[in-house]
Amino acid sequence: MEVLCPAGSPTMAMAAFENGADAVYVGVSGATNARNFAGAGFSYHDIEALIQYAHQQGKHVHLAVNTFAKPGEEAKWYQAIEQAISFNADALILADLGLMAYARTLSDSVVLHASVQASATSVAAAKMLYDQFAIERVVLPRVLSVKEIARMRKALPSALGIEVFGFGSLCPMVEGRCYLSGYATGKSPNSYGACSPGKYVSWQRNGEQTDLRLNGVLLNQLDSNTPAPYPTLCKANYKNGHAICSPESLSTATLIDELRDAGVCSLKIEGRQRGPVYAGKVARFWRDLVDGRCTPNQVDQQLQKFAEGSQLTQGAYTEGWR
Amino acid sequence: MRPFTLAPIAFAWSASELMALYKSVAHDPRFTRIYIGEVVCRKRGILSFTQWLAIAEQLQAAGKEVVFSLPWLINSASDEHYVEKVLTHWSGPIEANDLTAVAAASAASRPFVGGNQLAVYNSATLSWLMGQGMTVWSPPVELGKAWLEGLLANTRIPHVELFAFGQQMLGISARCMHARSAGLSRANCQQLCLTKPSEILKTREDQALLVANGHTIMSSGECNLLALEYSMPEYIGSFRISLSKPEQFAKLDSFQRQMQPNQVNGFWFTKAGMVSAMQ
Repeated sequence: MEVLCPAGSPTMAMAAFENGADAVYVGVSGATNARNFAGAGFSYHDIEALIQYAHQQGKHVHLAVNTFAKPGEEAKWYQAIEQAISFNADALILADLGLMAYARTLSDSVVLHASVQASATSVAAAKMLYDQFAIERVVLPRVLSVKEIARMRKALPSALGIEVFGFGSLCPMVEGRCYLSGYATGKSPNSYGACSPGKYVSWQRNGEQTDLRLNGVLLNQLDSNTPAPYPTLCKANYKNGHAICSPESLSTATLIDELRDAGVCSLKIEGRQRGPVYAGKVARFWRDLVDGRCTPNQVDQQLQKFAEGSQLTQGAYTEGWR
Repeated sequence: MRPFTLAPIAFAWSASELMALYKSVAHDPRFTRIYIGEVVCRKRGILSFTQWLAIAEQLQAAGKEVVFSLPWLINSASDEHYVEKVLTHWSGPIEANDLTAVAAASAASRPFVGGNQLAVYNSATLSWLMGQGMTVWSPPVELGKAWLEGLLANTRIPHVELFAFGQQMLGISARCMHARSAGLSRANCQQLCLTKPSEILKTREDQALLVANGHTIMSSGECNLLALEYSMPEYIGSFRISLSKPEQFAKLDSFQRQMQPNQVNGFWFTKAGMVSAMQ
């Protein structure tokens, strides 16, 4: 089972590789991928150098071009795809059907992965992308149970790999179809490449509390003991409490055997925006877990320090969260 | 005035409320295309599949085009079987809001409506979907006039149905927020949505922001683009109306005349969806 780590910078990629990551995924600075945050994107020069380095080490680099091309600016997305092919990236992670078609007009052999943002939540959806665009892997949205993943594995062609999220920030909504950030800010993952962009977030002291706002909308009132949640509408503390989702991160450490039995080929770690220390440590925990050098509970204990709200959940993989 | 289309009802109306609505709309000349079917949660079990087919027949007999909307989230074997069942027993067009439904329609060579939740953001994707059989397109609610104009500038244009009135679907989860509000899980929801109204999510400053509707999150503000009819571009072929409450049906004329308090239109002007912006 592949350990696939996030890299928002060359230093982060090196930290992940040195600590046992089999592969990293990266994006070009800007809106062509779903981490359009300052410091979470690469230059083309750095991507090329990283791919060369990784291949010398027997490691892989996946390039995420997993947002939706904006009319009139398609050239940016096309360039990212063209460069990935010329740099010999190990996979292109795409969400936009039009971009999948474009990539196939350029190359029959480029390896395409359907991004979680493509929102393929069923056998029929994944099979269509396999049949139409010859994708080699589908990254499953975080709305499927382990049982459903196992069913999909059995029903899908064996040449189509299944990748799932192993650890990191939890989107409680099906990816690629969420407009909550746009409702509050006008900028969404699909239209802009980022959820709750930083320029709309404010932290204001209010007596003993700190008010966390997104474009003026009060999300949370935090006291000094409360760990800071992500500034998203889905994790907000409404008058009715955390009515959508508590601040918590996803961890599948305790489900590792079930996911392996289900036929999952890759565990994706979220967090390209989180820096080299995170990448190195989290890569090490997951390498050791996958190789059987530590127990799931030991890993979860360590991961808790990196979790939103210091809380871990199995999310939709199991019934309890639903 | 452009023709209206009636979106599938996303909230848990009673069977009699649904029946009364479709009876009224069957003889309302403003409406040309009617979407039917349970799109949020089949566990609601408000109308049976046979009852939906009977409603479709009545609407067709009244001269309406009827589209069967497939569920918004398809993430289980049971959901996939349901899609097959609809395509087997329903010979008309379907509405696809996810790739499962696109795949099913395409495999069966059936025309389909691309709903608001399909990720269509550029002409390449639009063209690809039209190649699969999409004949009507309802753009994502977050796309405003400027984005649509760029998208449609150099492409073959399908019939464009603009989401013009109603609470907007902003996210779908595997979790039922309605059940969660009572400390229940989706598996053991006790069909709470049939007896307990949808919960409005208010900030701690009392701003009514969102509504938890089963496993979907809807906007609290009603989008109203009807009041902007005079300035709508020519390529908008029809206005999609999504009703949250039965009493809204009688008020559509007043919504056309002007924006009401709690109505929003920000997305159309490339602003935050929650705001009400002037042109």
